[in-house]
Amino acid sequence: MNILIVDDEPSIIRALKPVLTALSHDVFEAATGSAALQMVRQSTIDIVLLDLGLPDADGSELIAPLKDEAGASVLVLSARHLEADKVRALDEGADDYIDKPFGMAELLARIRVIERRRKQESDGTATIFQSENLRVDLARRQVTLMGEPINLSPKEFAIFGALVRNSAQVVTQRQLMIAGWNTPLVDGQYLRSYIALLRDKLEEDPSYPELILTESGVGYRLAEQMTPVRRT
Amino acid sequence: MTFKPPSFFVTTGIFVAATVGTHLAQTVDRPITAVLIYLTGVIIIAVHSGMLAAIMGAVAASGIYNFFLSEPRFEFGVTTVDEAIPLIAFNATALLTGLLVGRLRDSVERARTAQTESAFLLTVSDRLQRALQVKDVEGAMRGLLPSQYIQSVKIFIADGDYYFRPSTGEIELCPMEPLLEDVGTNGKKGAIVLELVGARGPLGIVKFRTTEEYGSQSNLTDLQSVSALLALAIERCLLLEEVAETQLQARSEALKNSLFSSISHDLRTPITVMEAASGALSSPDVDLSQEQRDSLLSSIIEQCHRLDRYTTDLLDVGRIQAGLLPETQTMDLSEIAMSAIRQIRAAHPTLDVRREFSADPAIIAGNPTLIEQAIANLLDNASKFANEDPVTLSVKAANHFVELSITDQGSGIKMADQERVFERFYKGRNEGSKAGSGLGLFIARGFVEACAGMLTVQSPVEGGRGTRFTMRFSPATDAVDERVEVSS
Repeated sequence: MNILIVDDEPSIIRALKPVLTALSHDVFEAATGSAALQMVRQSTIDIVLLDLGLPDADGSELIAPLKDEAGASVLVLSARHLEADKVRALDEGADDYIDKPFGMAELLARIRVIERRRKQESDGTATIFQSENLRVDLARRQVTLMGEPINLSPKEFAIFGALVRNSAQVVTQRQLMIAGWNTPLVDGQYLRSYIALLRDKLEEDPSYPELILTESGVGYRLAEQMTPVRRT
Repeated sequence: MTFKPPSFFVTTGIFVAATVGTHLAQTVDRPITAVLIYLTGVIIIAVHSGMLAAIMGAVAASGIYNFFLSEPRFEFGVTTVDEAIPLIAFNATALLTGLLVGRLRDSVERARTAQTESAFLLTVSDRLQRALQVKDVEGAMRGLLPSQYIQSVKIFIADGDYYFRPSTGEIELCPMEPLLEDVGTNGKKGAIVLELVGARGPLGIVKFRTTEEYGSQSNLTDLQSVSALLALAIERCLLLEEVAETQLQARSEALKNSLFSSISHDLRTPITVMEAASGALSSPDVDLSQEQRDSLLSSIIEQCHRLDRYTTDLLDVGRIQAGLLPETQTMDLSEIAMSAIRQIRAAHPTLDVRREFSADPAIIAGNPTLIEQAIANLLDNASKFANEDPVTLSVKAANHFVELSITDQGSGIKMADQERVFERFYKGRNEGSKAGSGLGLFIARGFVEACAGMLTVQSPVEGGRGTRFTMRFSPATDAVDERVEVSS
């Protein structure tokens, strides 16, 4: 994978570069927004690690060009308290975010998820996703948990489908509202109610969710990594 | 001096008696006795009725003595020195005695007035002693009025370009305003304005509204005494306030120093450890076993986490102190609590959190990240005192409030320390090595309050043990009906 690190702090690039290189990624670097855009036009970049606080640009404004022009996936690096910035970046199309400071293991896990998703996308649009315990057929609207079929209402399925398609990645409340109601202007209460209903049906202990996790102030994340399966 | 009827009759009676006595003495040919009797009468009149009556008596006595009693009778005229002496004696005695008596009376009167005044001033001073704040001075004085020609009193303290009335907070922008108001509104009643001067210079002004009897110079002196007492009391109150302020400043200075040393210790320690460990790892002179290298690396990672937690805490404190208003959205407190439990389980895998969630959704308006952090901080705090015992996290949703409480079964917090635990950098005595930054509870309360909630502590909870922290919010008012049609 070609990974571009966009951060104006050289020591962060210095710390990340040897690890990513050791994992046989090609690492590119840019300290400013304009340098980053130039870099994606020159080289093929798969993943951009984007710091939102750049000296010359608002990081979230870079996301659309990075994704649309270069077809790169974007992993946002952001401070913990700036939920609004994170949500904006995610709604602009960023694939995921990670709070600074982060552990290397966590960063590598996020990169792996993005990596896997990029492969899936190039495989064509899958409609069946599977993990150890869970199997979801998006076309037939079937969900099987530990071999047991689970009945979901159409709206529950629409919301759950958005989580499945972005498994192991955060999905913002807005994205889930669009998935469920075709509009982001839904009272957050409705979304919470449907998440609760989904948890009732899918979680072992709904009051202690392990599958559909809350990302406070941002959205939800399906904890399980789903892999696409070719229809036989 | 006016003649009052009884006094006039008494005086006349004395005069008539003296005249009759003198006549009797004269008829038995005792001229000296006769003169002495008349003289005595004049003295008695002088003592009794004062100067004017005495002189009138003396003149009348001279006339009667000269015309009726002394030779030649029934005609005026002084032929011998013997005849002149009594006349002079009557008048001189009357004059002198009258003067003396008058003076005596005046001084008695003055003494009485002075006594009333000083009693009044004493009471004023006594009352003013009790005022501890400038705003109380006027009230202390007002309790004594009306008295001593004073109807009412208003105190204004100079403050830059305007005058400020501490008792009411009213402000006079124009310095002359207090002078003009009230004056001449009612005939004899008037206002006297005096400057209040303390030992360190002018303080302001006092305005007395006076009663009708007010007028003479001596009353003005009284008002000056009263205003001097007021100035004294005000200055004393100002000094008390200054002392209190200085003490507060000294305390906050001491607090700042202890904060600073606490911060620098908590920041330096992890840096020191990391520097030493990484120095050892990179030194070509030190020959380390793989086990030793691993141990040094893990201590670097551990100190990184510690430093991260601490800077996060300090930034949170900064947020609270800067009063940054969080973005608000509605959320289910139970859902946020579950998130917080997940977060804390990563740091304390052995902590046993028992959940008691109400069946109803606990919807509040707030910032989910802040509330999650507040709950996580409370759980982290509970983990230090829980030992092996479970910690209970309960969420209650009632009509008028939504409540989340976290209860541990530790040894509890002494009543005296219960509010102090929310102070910055407060660390419990028994925390020992588990002590954190001393900021967790301060941050929890700050975040809960930033979301319009309340965070309180209760200890002991049961059987003399345990601590319970409770956060309470108003339910979100714009909550929609929770029942959702599943078939939609």
